[in-house]
Amino acid sequence: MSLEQLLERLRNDPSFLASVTAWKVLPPREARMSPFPARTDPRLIQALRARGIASLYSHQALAMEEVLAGDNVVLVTPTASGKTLAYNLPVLNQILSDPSSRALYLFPTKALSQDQLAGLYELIGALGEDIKTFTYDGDTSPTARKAIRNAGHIVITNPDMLHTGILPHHTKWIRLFENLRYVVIDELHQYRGIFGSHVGNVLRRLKRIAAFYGSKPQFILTSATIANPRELAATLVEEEVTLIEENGAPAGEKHLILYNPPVVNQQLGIRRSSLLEARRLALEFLKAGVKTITFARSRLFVEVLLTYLREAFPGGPGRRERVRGYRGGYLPLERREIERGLRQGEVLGIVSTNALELGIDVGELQAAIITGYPGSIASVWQQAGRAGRRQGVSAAIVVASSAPLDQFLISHPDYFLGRSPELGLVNPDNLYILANHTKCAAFELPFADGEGLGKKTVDDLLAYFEEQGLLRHTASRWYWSTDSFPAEDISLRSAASENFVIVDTTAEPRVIGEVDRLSAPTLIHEGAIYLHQGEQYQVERLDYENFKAYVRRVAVDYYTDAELAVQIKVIEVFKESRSDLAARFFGDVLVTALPTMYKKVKFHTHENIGAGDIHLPEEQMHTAAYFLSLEPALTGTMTREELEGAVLGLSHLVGNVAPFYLMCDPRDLQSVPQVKGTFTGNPTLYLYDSYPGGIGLSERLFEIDRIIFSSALDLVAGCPCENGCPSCVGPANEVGPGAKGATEKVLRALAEQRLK
Amino acid sequence: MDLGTKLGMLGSRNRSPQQGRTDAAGFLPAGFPGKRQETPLGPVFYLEEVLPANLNHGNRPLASFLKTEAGLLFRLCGRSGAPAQPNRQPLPSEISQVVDEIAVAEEPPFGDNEEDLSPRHQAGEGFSPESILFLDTETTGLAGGTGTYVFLVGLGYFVGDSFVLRQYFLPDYHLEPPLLVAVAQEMRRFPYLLSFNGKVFDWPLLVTRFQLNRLTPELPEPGHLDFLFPARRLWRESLGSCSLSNLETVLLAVQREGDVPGELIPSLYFDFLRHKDFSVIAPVFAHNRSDLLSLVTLASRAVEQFHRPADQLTAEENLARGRFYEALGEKDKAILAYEKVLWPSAGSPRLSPNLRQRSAERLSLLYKEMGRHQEATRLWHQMVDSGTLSLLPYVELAKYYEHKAKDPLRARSLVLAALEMARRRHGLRGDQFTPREKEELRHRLNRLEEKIRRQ
Repeated sequence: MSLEQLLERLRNDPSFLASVTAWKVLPPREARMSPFPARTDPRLIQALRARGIASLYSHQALAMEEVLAGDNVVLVTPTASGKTLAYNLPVLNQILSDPSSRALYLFPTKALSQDQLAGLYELIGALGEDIKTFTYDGDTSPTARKAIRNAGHIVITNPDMLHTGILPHHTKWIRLFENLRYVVIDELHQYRGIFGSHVGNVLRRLKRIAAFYGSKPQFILTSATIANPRELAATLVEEEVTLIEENGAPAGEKHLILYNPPVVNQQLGIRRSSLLEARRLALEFLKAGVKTITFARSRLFVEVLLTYLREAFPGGPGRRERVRGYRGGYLPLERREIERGLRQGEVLGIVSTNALELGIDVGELQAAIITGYPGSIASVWQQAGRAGRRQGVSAAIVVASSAPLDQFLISHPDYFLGRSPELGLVNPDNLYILANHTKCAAFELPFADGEGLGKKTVDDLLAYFEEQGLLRHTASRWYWSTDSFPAEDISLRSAASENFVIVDTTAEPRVIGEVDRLSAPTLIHEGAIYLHQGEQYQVERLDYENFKAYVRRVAVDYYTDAELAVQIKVIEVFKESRSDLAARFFGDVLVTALPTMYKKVKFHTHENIGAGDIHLPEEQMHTAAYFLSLEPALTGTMTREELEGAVLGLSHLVGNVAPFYLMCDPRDLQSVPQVKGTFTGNPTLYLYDSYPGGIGLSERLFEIDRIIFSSALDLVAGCPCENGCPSCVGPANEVGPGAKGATEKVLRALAEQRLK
Repeated sequence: MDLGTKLGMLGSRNRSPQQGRTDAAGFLPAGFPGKRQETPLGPVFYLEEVLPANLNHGNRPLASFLKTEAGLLFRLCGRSGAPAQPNRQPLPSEISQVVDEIAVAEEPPFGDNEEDLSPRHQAGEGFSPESILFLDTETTGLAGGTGTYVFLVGLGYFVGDSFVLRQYFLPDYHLEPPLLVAVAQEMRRFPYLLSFNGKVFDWPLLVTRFQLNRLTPELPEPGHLDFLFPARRLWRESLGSCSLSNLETVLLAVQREGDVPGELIPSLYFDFLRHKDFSVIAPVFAHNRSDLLSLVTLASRAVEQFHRPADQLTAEENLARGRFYEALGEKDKAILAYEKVLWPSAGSPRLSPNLRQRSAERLSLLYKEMGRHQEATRLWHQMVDSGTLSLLPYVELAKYYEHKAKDPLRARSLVLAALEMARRRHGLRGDQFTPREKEELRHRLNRLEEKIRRQ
């Protein structure tokens, strides 16, 4: 059966359609071509012609023109639109005209670098010119390193390596920095939140070093569709950036189907498991002979799905598996083998974690089944883009889980099709992050008096570090004056540099994971059941001083839930606005969290089967927060229960919906309800950035809270449950039976109010 | 709220505040007994000492270095002119050692800098004890990278019957350019440089400092001999640790009184910068001086070891000597050294099985290379009979019987015995042979059976 026939059958299947909340058909799109820009090197044109590329897609040509005109460019086009060529073209063109030119490519992961290298080799091979390209990362051998430093025209690396391996050793990279013409940053939308805020500072350091050696590189960035690509790019590189978003690449007809599993318990609002539904759908597609990729959110889910699907499609002895797993760590060779298997028909299906969403090309797939909302719409499109290349029909089915955000999005197909509402937010000026990179920059090159890091003044920080004995000020400069190597202690992937290491002592002690410092008190207190890749471990000892937790594998029928007494003290209000109904604030707060005790909660029944005390010191964090205080005009007529329910419900809903707009992990933004607020005396909802100093989430929340209130209102009003469920205001037994109605009332008033 | 409180609340763990800044004007540090020299880039500070060459350092006079056979020292440092046996595969028993060497010599976090010598230097042109500049630096840290400063450059050389010691000192960071230029000028006067671990540490750091200050012309590199490598080759077997302090204690009987532990050196310098009081940093000068002098006498001690009769050396020293000559391609001398390990004079201590096996493996292969097949096969048979855990004698005997003696049956029985041993050892102590080794054995077995069938 062909994909078209299968889709036709599904269209006429009432039981399937009953669960479909939207079925959109995107018509095929013709290619829009442009000739090669006038300044394209004839050798490049010839090499491309030899590979069957006689002209460019319009966006590729436009990008080339803009780069040639000296602009920084951010290119926003979907998967499989040839964006790689869009940046390789100007870079190779420059190197052909001046072989001393150098370019630096940054990819968020090593696997992507490897893929990129393979692609570049092909193009350079076709050119037949002596252009040297290398990846430089943790896997690069010492002997290769020296060659790369001196001879590499294009150095492909990742921000982490730039941060610890290249910038602190810039004297070894003189050739690169003296001649650095282009910096290519792929997958820009990955650089948001904490990671992005760090990367912004790494780029400040990069520009500082380049300037020291007399070069000023141009930036070429690419991004998946988000609401603010130009803003994000401009914040990261601290320069004007030109946006290119008209896609000239052709595309085949695409079906996007939003699928909400049926409700099985109306009262509690429980739906069928998204995993089981995804399995059922995947089987249907695979049985029809449609080459299908199934995405799952966790490795564990991937393993489970893989087992199910392999049972249905056994490879047979001596034959290769027909359904293959795909994990982040696969080597290019293994991926090529899977691709070959797909082309030759040996491989029918792939099950993957989100690893594949990042621009890696497996080709040949016709359908994608996305199990659960992967955290951003940009990711949904990247995953959907894995199926269906430039021609032919393709289909993508998003299967919602019962998480509130999934439920919200599955009933709002416009978000998938209209302009992206997702904001990539970074705050490179976060004091904590800035302070760490100021140390690194001072290590790399002494600061002169009055010199900033990027556009940020750092005089105060330098003086502070001198007081701390890290710097010495002499002859108008600030010299690094301690024996440490600061970049090694700073991870770009989290704000607090100190992470707790989890050591499994079941057999030979080995490190199995890390937990950031702020989560440690509730996740790895002594007695806690710590889950790692589906295995249960019990924490036997927490060495708080040395950041280590010693765990042992166990098999128990409960999980642990720690209680944290959180206090919030407002330090300074930066922005506020009031109406009769509510007052809104943005400011600095001090969050104090004291873990008190934990409960043992039985699986399935959720009975409380025991408890224990937690003996850990209080944790304090100074961060940025948005807070909303409900005035008596809004809540005066409510009973105490209603008020409590409304504040709890609001906290649950807003805490779940806001991460969608702010494109962050739900854990990046913590929400705390207070029935009697300590700041205004009225019921108050706090949402704070769960990173010291804040990363811009709550600040943006202050600007867009109305949109979030109305989305939350849609969600609660449209939820089929009776008195509240985990998909909307929270389970009724936790928030109280009146919570759903009260929350809806408050949200309606907030969404419709006029704020001064 | 002030920044410190703010950062403190953000959760950063910094050191407690130290004393504030001191004036940057104190160009001649209080109590500095050395000289100040004006240069276009600024003042240079150094301490100079002219020592009589017959001064003892530990149990040897410095002048012993002047009497060393220069050519041997040059070759000891791995500069024989020809690369040593580039195609030779390491023996199984060597692998752990090789891995160890790689681990030690592997690129440190700040990069590799094992520059090859120029052809002129490789040939040892103009090499003599007086052509050598001894180098040892003290730095603000061991981490490398552009934020690590060299604050003391110790240089030493022989003139007539004196040893001159010059220690260039950085009294504050901004005075780095004149110091570097002065050091570079000294470097230009000498065709050769001798250091201890300088290839990996001191030299790259000096180059980094030079480049960071954008100084031209580039820092000239004399022919750089790093004594760490020969020291490892010579003494790791017998002494284990080849740190300079261990070597000088054991081999030279050097006793340092009140020496500064290396890890405290950076903080003493930071203290000095705050107070500009020379007495704070004086112990570091003494430490640097002693390191340099030890390098001189240690080098002469190494050469001398080669002039001693083999009888006076331990088995470990003879093994090291054998390996050294082998690396130089002087096979006859290597054979004599290995033979001394395996068949020592009466009354020598018992040989460890490990040492015996490694010496036997190397010796047997040398016999084979020299065409001394009878001695080689005898040694291999001895190894097999003594229940060796090495595959080498089995494989070599199988080769010998297959190709030389034309006795495939006997060759086959040796391969079978080797496979049996591989199986037993697998059960006994985990897999110790590589799949490739086993694959090669099976391949050999198949070929032999084919031969036997055709006969």
